[in-house]
Amino acid sequence: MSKDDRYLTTFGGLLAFLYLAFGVFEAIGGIGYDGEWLGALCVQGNVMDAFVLLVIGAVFAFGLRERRDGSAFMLIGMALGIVFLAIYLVLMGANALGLLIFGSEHMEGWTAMDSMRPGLYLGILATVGGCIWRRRLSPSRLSRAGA
Amino acid sequence: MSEVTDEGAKKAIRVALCGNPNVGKSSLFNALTGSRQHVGNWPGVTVERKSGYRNYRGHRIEIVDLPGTYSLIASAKDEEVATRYIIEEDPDVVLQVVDSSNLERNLYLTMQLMEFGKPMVLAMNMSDITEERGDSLDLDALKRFLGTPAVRTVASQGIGLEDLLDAVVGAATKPPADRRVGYGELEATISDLREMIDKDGEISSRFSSRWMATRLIENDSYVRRLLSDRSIWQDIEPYLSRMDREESEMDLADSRYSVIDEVVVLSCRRCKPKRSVSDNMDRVLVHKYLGIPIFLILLWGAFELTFSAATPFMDLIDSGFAELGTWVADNVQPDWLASLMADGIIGGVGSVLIFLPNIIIMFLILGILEDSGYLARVAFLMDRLMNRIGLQGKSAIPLLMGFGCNIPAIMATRSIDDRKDRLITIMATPFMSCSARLPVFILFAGAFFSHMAGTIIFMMYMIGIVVAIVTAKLLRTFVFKGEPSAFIMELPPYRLPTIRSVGVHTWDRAYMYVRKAGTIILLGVVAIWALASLPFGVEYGGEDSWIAIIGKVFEPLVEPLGFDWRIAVALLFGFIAKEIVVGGLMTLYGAGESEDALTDALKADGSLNQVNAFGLMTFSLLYMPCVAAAGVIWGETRSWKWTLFSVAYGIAIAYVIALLIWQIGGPLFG
Repeated sequence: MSKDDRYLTTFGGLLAFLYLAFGVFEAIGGIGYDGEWLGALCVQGNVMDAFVLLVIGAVFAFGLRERRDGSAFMLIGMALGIVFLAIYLVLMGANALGLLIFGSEHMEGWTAMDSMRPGLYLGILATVGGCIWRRRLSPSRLSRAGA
Repeated sequence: MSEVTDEGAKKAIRVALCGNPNVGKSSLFNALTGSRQHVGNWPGVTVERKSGYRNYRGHRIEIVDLPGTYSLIASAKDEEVATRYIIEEDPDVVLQVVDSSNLERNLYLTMQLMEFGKPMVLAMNMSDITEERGDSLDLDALKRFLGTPAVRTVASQGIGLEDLLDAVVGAATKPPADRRVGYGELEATISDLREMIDKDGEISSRFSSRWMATRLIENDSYVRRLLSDRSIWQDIEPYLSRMDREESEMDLADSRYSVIDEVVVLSCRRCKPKRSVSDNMDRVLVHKYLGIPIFLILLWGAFELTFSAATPFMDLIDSGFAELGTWVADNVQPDWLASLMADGIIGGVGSVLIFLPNIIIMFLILGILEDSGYLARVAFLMDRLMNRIGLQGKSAIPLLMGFGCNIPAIMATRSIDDRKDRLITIMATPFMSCSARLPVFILFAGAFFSHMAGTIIFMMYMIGIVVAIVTAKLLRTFVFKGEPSAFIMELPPYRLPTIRSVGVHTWDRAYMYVRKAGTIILLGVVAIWALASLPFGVEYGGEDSWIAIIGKVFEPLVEPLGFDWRIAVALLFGFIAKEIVVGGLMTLYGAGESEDALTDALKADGSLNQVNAFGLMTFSLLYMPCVAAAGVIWGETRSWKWTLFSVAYGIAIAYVIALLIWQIGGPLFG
């Protein structure tokens, strides 16, 4: 294993732990546990969010098990983390746009913190990894689809 | 049909555009003719032939885009369309699109086409992928060896089109080069068969007797049919029955592959299989345990975006229609005209157009998933599940296409060669939730499940998938007994979706949606408005209106599902097109022109709650998608029995599930 692959595996291991842990927190919130600490971590108690975090965590975790192709799992895990960061940012942006167009009355007191969730800040961490290993993750390594 | 003109046209040239599935035929067709045929990064996108024209250097070139085929011996209906065209319609030039990055597999069809004896041109497409891989093609060596012009193209970027057209014009004006594959010991058999075929002057003047002889050895049903009523068949049939056909077929294929090996060695440098980016991605994305969960989270993400990201744009359109409706109501006279315009047209059509942002977002996402090659992986992931329910993996492609629109999805079943598998897939496809059902889901999920609307919509899609699977399993177990036919799927490489490709597809779908709103939906809501306003003098949509009378006839049927007469009418009109359900409710609830007002009216309706709203969404999901879908089922099956079964079965399933939801869920949560 090259030095770069070792760093990638360590980083992927950290992300595996975080995604799985926050996935469990979301699931706990989803089944009705209402601890204050969950609120502090912006855990919304959404079962589908929990599923997303657990699946991304599982991708990283499988990468730790794989000797030969571990890096592929880490890179896809990061890509998924970034995709969901983008989805959550678009959702946050859509709410902000609604606030901008229709004012606070229509948005019933929405603030940016209402859209904050673990997938967002863990996604930022995945993006940091994506930037470090951007050469290996670059979509430019794929050819273009037909038009 | 479309046309691109360079200069005045003179001589007509007819070109058959053929090749293996997913090599970029439709991309090349679009680039050459200026058409906008749907292209996708998976096999089987084109299932019927399409024509386009190009005037080039004094020639009027008709280009016929054919479905992909691996061989001239067709096994599926779409392959038959391609082979029959090439054989029967006598095109001037056969233009084979070759995936340069997969030369060996593509050249098998080339060998068969060469034997057919028509002038040929090879478009060496996807050359960019080959070059990025570090491989290089020696086109001169290829041309010399095959005796056929070969042109480097990248259809998606419009590279090599002029050279290709020059080659087509050149090939049309010259006789084809006489190149043939040597079949060793089988040559004697071929020679005997040729002698017999040549005795029939009519046949031998139409087709190359050598080509027919090889087809007979390969047991091609088309050639057998062609000869079976000729006098020469009396000699041919006993001769063929004495042969070990299986052995001979294998010998033919071996000979062709040894020529292909030589071609590849001569013309391709460094063409050795290496592990690509796509291979690495597939280690994860089609992983035994992770593949399906990854697909599910991406699907959920797509529906979250479809619902939530569109909201401000929906609100904007909604307020626009509300303003327009108010203005019309205040300024138009007489009152009935104002009511027709505000309550009927603006309210009904507006309530459908409000969902345009959702439709655009959904097709953008579907386009990205399709063009990237990911949807082909989903079909691959589904293969195991499909086999378990008695279908082949190929059935997953039409089912997934059903998320966009059920009509092309039902047509896409033509790529399934086994008739039983095809019928089962046709019967299951209408349960896949198409975009027309989306407005119903968004309206009711938004009104009754606002905090988890995206998840509820995702559940609807899951229910559709489950019902499609159960339907397939039931049909396989009780009606079409047997094993699914074998399926080998070639996974296309992952590609970066282009803005143009995804944009064109999304634009076309959005345009279709708007056009539908302005035609069939407009007629539907005007009809509902008229029935709600008649007889003259009655209260609009009141108990004495014709619509109420019709609705009350059906009310006893839907009462056990927790629906009233207005829902019954909306569902009844939903047979025409599902969007009318929303437009109809807008008209029937007298919600004016604003979707928000309809949401409020639905919430205020004491007879509706989360349980029967969920039941209504499920009913809308499962009963027949639209009249056009039923028409396509008839067109594809040519059977009234199966068309009526599909409609009746859909209604029955929708009814039973909605009944269970209300009867069980009502007492618990209602």
